[in-house]
Amino acid sequence: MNKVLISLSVVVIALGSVMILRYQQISPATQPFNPLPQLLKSEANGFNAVKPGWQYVFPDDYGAHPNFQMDAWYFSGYLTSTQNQLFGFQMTFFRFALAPEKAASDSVWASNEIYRAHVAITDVGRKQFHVSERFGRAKLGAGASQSPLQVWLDDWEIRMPDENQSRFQIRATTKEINLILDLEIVKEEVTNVDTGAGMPPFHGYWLPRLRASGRIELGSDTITVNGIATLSQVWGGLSLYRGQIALNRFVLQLDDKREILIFQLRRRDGSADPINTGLLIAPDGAVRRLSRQELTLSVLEHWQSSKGDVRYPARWRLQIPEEDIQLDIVPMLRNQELNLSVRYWNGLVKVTGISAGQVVSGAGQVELTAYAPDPSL
Amino acid sequence: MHRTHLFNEGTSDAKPMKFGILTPALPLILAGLLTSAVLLLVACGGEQGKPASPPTIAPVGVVPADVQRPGDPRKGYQLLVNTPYVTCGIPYSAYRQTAEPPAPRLLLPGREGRNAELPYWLTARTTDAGVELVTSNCLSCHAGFFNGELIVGLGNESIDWTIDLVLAAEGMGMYIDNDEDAVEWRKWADRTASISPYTMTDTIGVNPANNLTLALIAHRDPKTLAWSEKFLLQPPPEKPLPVSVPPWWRMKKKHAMFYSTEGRGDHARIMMTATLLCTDTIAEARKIDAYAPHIRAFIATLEPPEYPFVIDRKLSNTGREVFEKNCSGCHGTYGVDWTYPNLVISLDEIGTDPELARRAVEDADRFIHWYEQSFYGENTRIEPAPGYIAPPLDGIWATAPYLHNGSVPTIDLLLDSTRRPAYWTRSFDSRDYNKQELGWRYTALKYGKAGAASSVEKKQIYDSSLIGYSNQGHTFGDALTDNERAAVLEYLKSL
Repeated sequence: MNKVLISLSVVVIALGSVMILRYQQISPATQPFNPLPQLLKSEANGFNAVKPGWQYVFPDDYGAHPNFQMDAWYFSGYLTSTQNQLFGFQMTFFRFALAPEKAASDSVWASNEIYRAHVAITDVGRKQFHVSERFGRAKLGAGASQSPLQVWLDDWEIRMPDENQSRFQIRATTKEINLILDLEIVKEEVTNVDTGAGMPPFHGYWLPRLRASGRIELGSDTITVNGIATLSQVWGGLSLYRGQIALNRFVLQLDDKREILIFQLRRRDGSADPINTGLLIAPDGAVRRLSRQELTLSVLEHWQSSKGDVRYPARWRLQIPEEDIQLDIVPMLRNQELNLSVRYWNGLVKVTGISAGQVVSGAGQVELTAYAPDPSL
Repeated sequence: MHRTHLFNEGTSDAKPMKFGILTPALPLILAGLLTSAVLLLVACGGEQGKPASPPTIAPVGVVPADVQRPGDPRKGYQLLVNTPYVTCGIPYSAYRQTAEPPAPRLLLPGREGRNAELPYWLTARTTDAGVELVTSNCLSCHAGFFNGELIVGLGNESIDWTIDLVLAAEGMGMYIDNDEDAVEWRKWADRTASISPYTMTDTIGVNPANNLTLALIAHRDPKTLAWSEKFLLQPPPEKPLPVSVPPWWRMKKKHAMFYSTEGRGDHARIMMTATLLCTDTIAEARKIDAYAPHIRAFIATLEPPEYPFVIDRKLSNTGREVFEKNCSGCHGTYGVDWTYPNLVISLDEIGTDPELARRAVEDADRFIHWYEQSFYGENTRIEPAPGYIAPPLDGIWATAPYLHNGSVPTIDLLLDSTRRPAYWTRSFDSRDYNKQELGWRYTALKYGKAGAASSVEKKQIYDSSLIGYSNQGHTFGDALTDNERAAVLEYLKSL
């Protein structure tokens, strides 16, 4: 599942970003311009179309794809300090081009590309969830290079520093917390796996396991951390439509060196049961596709948002009988709601269960979208 | 008489089944497009309901003719390619966002309005509420490519029914942005979800039409045709038996439809069961029925394309003698004064995979009973015979792979059962044709699906060890000498 899963999951983020633009919810403090009129006039026709048979080349495909209208990068992971403090992190970068040609004017305001990024850190011990979001446009402190990868928005950045390009560096500073991580590729990209569902409107890959090391600066504390992370990237076109379907994603990284990606299509009106499909990645990187018939994902508990107006699923049981896997998925912190220009829940979860008679555990990231009401137009 | 439409407008081969929603398979489901194999009445055991009397099982042997309603073939073609007889589908706004404009080779002449911009397997419809839809039509399964050319009436032997249609149908919902469109999308996606377990084949190229039809029947009230989300009859087994889509041009000679000749009576009415996915009322069905005879008339006047390569006329003439001596008893004679016996051959005699016929005869009572009570049963009958009909062989060279389940890649192998590969695969490229053996170039494999290295390879393997996929039987060519067999092959090119 593969590309569909990977693509669409990142697209949650990407679509979210466009929704922001669409709904004009951008606050003046974080967003110094209103790109909506241009976005609505943006010319999708001049961009490369997504067609079957993309030949993935790495590390080049880690970089931006300026011939396509959109790029999105999404890192997440969990980190442990030397004092056994637990943290989750997530960082996204999103590039959206308004027109395929380079801007005619030299004015920085005439730039064709809009950037959006967000960073969130879950501090499990202190029960805090730090979230920050930024917008920018090319030439005004934001940009993306093709190869080697570098994407930046002011002083937030992801890049590949190495000659051999086997690791990423990410860096973000906010008022409350700074994140500086080195992320080394442990398992190769998952891509070009039979989708079973046709071609998604995006190209993309998933790096299921990165080894994370670095530091979190929290107030005056500098905390050394190590952990596991993951990266999804997609590029392609973008729809401005909101649609009838919401997308949820579960990325689970087990201590036995397996990963599970579950992708959930959920009707917003609840008129049908959600559809779950997934991937199971073996320790050696072998990819097993999980059809919707092969897994069940049951919601065991809900959580009422701190505002009290939104009810999110907050505990799940995942069963994959053919693989003899049963896992319970529990948020490490209930309130990991991102109340940004798009409101959704995206947070660190703990995974415990049994696989083939053995106890397994792990952690992961769960993304739940479109539970909050849409902002009014 | 209508010569089969041949279109050659592109250079790359046409295999329009790669793109999920953009392929025939998904829209197809919008459609229920089983036109040809509609009521093979494969089914599982377990009786529900209480048939008043056991259904009629037809004898093997000669199939008698039934009177057909007359129609205008020209009108029929226009209706076939322009009229949305399948009434539910994807809102056009969503389709437009997910589909590239079709290549010229995917367009058909004679299409009007919005249809002119759609690929051949889709037809536009505007609902009473004003929502524009794209719906599937008969050609998803009943048009195919040979040597890069689209041929209306040729069974599509490259369609990919292995995909999970539900995922794609639900995903389409991301592109639905207003309430009117959402109503139509939900109807289509819900129907898709209802029947998709019954349509997933193991292998690319084979068709689940019969199983799909039975699943649809199980959702409908026979008296009103009203749709029920819950099954009203016990549905068929989920896993479909594989069916090769027969070419339409056989219909001019055949007295009954489908491999076990289940479809007796008014062929136009039987063909209409292809709209079962969305036809929810008798009134709607009657509207389609009013023009269906024109479409049947078009189908019944189709002729196969001409063999596009060189034919050795001398060898072909020799082959004709061999053919008429050995084959004509079942398959008839060809030329201006053609004859065709309409013979069903018993399972014992033909020896091909029995499952399709067996289920049609033994396990279909409840579906036949449904049919008899329904609008469709007014002037038609489902009377399977315990065997398979020996088909007319017009254009047989274009219709690989062979037998009712598509288990044999070439006619050469069909005429020598000792050399048939138990496991084989092919490129699914309509230009990858073997002129010597008359069929697809294939690669024999030492392993079946169980030994496939990937899911992609797995679904491209024809595996004769699976239920319904046997490549045995039709051993009548085994006794031919190599020279005789070569001569018959040459002759078949001329049909």
